[in-house]
Order: sequence, then structure tokens, then C-alpha cells
Amino acid sequence: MSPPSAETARELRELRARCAKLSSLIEVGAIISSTLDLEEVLRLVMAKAKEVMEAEACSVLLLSEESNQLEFELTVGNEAQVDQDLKEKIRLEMGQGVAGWAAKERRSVLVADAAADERWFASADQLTGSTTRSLMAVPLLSKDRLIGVAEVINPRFKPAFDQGDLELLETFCAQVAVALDNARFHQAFLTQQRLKEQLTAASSIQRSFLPPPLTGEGNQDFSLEAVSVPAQEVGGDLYDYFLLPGRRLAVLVGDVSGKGVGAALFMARVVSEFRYLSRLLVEPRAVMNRLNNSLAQGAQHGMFVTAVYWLVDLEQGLVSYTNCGHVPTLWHRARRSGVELVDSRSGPPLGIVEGYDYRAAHLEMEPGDSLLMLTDGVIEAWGRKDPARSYDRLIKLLRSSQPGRPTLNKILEELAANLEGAEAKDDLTLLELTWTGLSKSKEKEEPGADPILNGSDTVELDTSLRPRMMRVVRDVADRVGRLAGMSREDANAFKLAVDEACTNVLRHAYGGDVTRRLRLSFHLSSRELAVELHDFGLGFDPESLPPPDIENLRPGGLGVYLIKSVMDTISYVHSETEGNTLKLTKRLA
Amino acid sequence: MSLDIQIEKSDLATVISVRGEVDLYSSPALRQELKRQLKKKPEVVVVELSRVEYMDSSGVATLVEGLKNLTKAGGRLKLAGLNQAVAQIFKFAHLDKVFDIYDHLEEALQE
Repeated sequence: MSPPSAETARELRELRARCAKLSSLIEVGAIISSTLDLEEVLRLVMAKAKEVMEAEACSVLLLSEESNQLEFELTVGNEAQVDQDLKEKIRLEMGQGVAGWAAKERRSVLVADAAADERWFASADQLTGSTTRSLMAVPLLSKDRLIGVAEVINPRFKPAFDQGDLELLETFCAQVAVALDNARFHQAFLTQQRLKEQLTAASSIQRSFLPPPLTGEGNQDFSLEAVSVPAQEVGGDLYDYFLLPGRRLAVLVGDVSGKGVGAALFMARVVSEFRYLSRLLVEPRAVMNRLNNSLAQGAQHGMFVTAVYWLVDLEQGLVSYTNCGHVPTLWHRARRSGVELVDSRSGPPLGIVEGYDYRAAHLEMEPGDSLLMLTDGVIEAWGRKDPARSYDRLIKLLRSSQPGRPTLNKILEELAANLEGAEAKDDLTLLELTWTGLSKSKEKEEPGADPILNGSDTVELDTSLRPRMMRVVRDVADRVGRLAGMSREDANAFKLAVDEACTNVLRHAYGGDVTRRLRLSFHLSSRELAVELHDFGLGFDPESLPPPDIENLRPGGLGVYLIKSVMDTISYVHSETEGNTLKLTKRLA
Repeated sequence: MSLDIQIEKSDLATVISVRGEVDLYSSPALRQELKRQLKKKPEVVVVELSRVEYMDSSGVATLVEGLKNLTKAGGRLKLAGLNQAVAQIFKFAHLDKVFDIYDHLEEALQE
């Protein structure tokens, strides 16, 4: 074999050098493909490109999606100050300068003599203080999307770049674009991930606000179950409960306006202030008045919260509550196997009207009764447009369940079925409080010993309020009182109270219409004699009347005053759909 | 059933005797009678209640109104013969000290 000619030998050398460069670039490509940090990728790529291309400087310009301009992202081979200046001062429009042209045309450019090329943008040279002789610009494309332009300036050992250099750079840039795209995607992903981590942290902090289950020794006289499902990681629903001195249970259920982190922070504030105030002031009306003022004074971004605070006397089953714009609660009455909507006299949500005086309302639970508290997410889960239908559904569910047995799971199952896999739009909270009372255990100890407790000792009377019928009502009240073993005096007082209560219904609920119907039921137990007046008129809470002013006596005010002095407890339940129930009880000696 | 109200005047007083149940429906009749008698500027009016088996708050309010008007005019309103149930209401309403209450009509007239 004859030795290769000088010509061939040179070609071979060049070919080897090119191969070395190419493999070097491919190697870099492999590395950058595995790196997801955007800055890291660029620094690595540009350093290697400069080395392999034997160039004086190179840079990457990225297309800003906002301005549609090319901005220097990174330069290699310039002094730090120059690098900084390029980044801050030079922005190329699409089509401006060689890089701009490459970007606009999406084609590679080889400029052998910069000074002779009309596309050449001289400002950069003025800024860097160097002279560009020859340069190449290659668009960075990823799946047909323009990311930016890579630029290589001045070969160190020859006057100008050639076609071979350009091909090399193009091969290289194809990989760079993909790597850049990946890195960008990764960065967006990281940002999202970080946000998600913060939300998860917020969510777990929020969960830590929710009270632990109240069970164990000494808490057998009630059961409490709660579930809260936020629509997002963090929600605006809240609930809280804890025992207060004197065997009283405080329960709060609320719904903060809005969702997300802002609502969650507001919720945290509401709960901590509530905890403080309820221990300080105890009574629902006083607590909610103070909480409202505090929230209204420091209200931010128009945030407010609907809430209802229940204070339950666990020994007697007496409940006082104050509702601040919250959805009605359902009262499942074990003995009467009925469900009532408790919606007595709600005020505005907390945090809106500073100085508002909320109302205190009362009801008396019987052993086995439960209160189902909820937020409007539950109502809306059955259809935003028709809350009445949702309530009907809930009432049916409660009615079909055994009194005293928790219904929460049943409700959740039905809710889940109703949503059919779709996510709830609003946070959803349910809390069920069942009061078993102490008499339940008594009942178990002496089965059948107290026939009065079996609920059969009830006298019902459906009557108009005509004068003659009122005499009948009084007569019945008197007899029931005597049957209950009351003294003559007590029976008289009881009769008076029943009469006055009827008068109140006539005056306030029926506007004086004596033909309307009133249902009276007397319940006799060994402990007490109770009478319930069920009317179907406008709501009227006797508690809302001020004490009578003897100087300016109005008959109505005196009547309520008499009822209060005669009876031991008074409770009133107003329902838009089922009428109003006033319940009076007199303890038996 | 309406109230049975009788008026008896003597040198000592105007006696209004009431019989029946004084409730929301019958108290307006008592109110009317009291007004009519008070117009005659009596010095002493005794409301005799021994045959009233029942009275509610509207009855009490009617008597309070009579008491106030007569006292203003310089006269005296006395209640007599209250049975236990009726006396009880005045006690509940803390009005037993506001009225002059006598067990029997005779005592009310003698005083």
C-alpha cells in the first residue's frame, strides 16, 4: 500500500478531529439530557461548546414568552461585567441582529465576515468592547417550538467559521433544546411541588386544629362524631368541641367565606379566639357577640364566617345556642321519632356587623336525642339550587335510622354516591352529637320499673283557640297536673302557664285568629310534666321578650313572665317547614 | 261563656262582683265595666272575686290598669275574696303587694 498523499493525510487528520469533536459533543449531550437544573445545563453546555468549537465566546439567548424578545441567558468567555451588561441591556426583537434573524427564520446562520453582513447588530460589540469577526447562530427548537438561540463567536485559530462548524453546532443544539425544555418543565414542576409541600404542611397544621375524639371515662353520657372533608388541601370549614366546667360541652361549627390558604388562616384565627372567649364568657350569646366584634374589627379582605355555637348541659340535656348566619341544624328526637329543623333566629355571619347583638336560643334534649350540625357543602352536594330537597333527604335519612345510633356514615355514603366520583365543590363538614343522658343507664338497671318512661304517658289535644276550647284546654291541663301528682297550687300554676302559652300563640303566631289549629301534647314522666305547643304560624320566641315593666304593663309581656315564673324550663324551636314548638316543663317533687 | 258582673253601690264603696273565668276573651268586659264605674269618680272601688275560679294575665293587666287610673284620680281600688288560684297569680306577678287584697268583702269595706 502506497503511503497516503499529503492531501489525503490532511483530510484524514481533519476527519479525526471532527469525529473527536462530534463525540465530545454527543457526550455532553448525554450529560445535559440527564441534568434537569436549567442553569446547570446552560453553564455546562456553553463551556463545552466554547471548548470544542475553539471559540472566543458563546452565549445562549432565550425567548421570553411575555415580551417575545430574545434575552441573554448566559454567556461564556466574557468578563463577568460584560456578561452582566449583555443580560441587562441587550434585548433582541425577532429578526433583529443575527440571532434575531435565526430565531425569526428558524434557520441556522453562518456569518463569515460580520462587518460585511447587514444583519449584524453592532450594539453588542460596543458593549463588550470586542470585535466580532465571524459568528454562528442556531435556533433552539423543541418539538417545533422556539426556545431561543445559541450563538458562537470568533474561532480562535482561524479567521472564520466554516460549514463543518455549523453542522457540528446544529447537531449539538438539537440536543440542547430538548435538554432545555426538560429543564424548564422540571423547574415548573419543582415550583409546583414546593407549593404542594407547603399546602400539605398547611393542611396538616389545619388538621391539628381539629379536636381529638372525646371519649373515655366519664364521657358515656354523650357521643360526638365529626368529619370534615376539604374541597382543596386546606378548607374553610371548621369545628371544635371541648368540655367546660360544670359538665358542659361546647361545640362550634362554622364555615369561612372563601377557600384555600387565606380561608384556612382565618379559620385558625376564629378557632383560637373562640377557644379563649368560650372559656372566659361561656354563654353562647356573650361569646358570639365578642367574637363578632373582634373579627369585624380586624377583618381582612372582607372575610367572614358563619357559625353556630352549642352549649350543652350534659346533666340535664339543656342546650343553649347562638346561630350567626349558619345553616340550620337537625334535631333528631328519639322519643317522638321526629326530626326538627333548628333555625331559631339566626343573625348575620360573624365579622360583618360590628356591635351586633345576637340572640340566645334554647332547647331541651331528651335522652337519645341527637343534633346533626353541618355546613352548606353538605346541602350543596345534593344540589345547590334546592336546599329544601337536601334537608328533606337528610331528614329522611335521620328518620330511618335508629335514634341514638350515629347516622354520619350513612349520610357520607349517600353523599359519595350522589357525587358519583366527582369532587365536592365546597368543603363539607358533619358533626353529630347524641345525648344519652344518665336516665338511659337507669332504664337499663330497672327494666320496666318506670312505665312512665316508656313514652306512652302522653295526652294529645288538637284544638282551635276559640274561647270554649280554651276552657277545655285549661281543664285538661288542670287534670293532667293533678294526675302527675301536683299539689293543687302547682296544678293551678301549670294550668295558668299553659293558658298563657296558648294566648301567646294566638297573639303572635296567629295574629288573633282563633280558628287556627294548635296541637298540644302533655308528656308525663316520673321526673317532670312537660307540655309542647305546636303551632304553624309565624315564629315567636318567648325568650326574646324583655321582662315585664310593671309600670307600663302590657298583657303579653306579663303572660310570658308568668310562664317563666311558673315553669322550670322553656324551650322554643322554630322551623319554616314544620311549624314552631314551645316546650314547657315543670319538675315533679 | 261571658262574665257575670254586678254593681252594688253603698256609702262606703262601689262593689264590682265578678263571676266566671277571667281570661283573654272575657277580660274586655271587666275592663269596660271598670272604666264605666271609674268615670263616676268613686272614692273606693272593691272588686269582689270570690266566684272567679280562674284568671289569666289579661285579667291581671285589666285590674292593674284600673288600679293605676283610680289611684291617679285620688281613689282606692281594693280586691276581695280571691280564691287560692287567683291569689297565686298575683303572687307570681309580684303584684300581691301592689294591690290592697282582702280575704272577704266585709274586711275591704271596713278598712
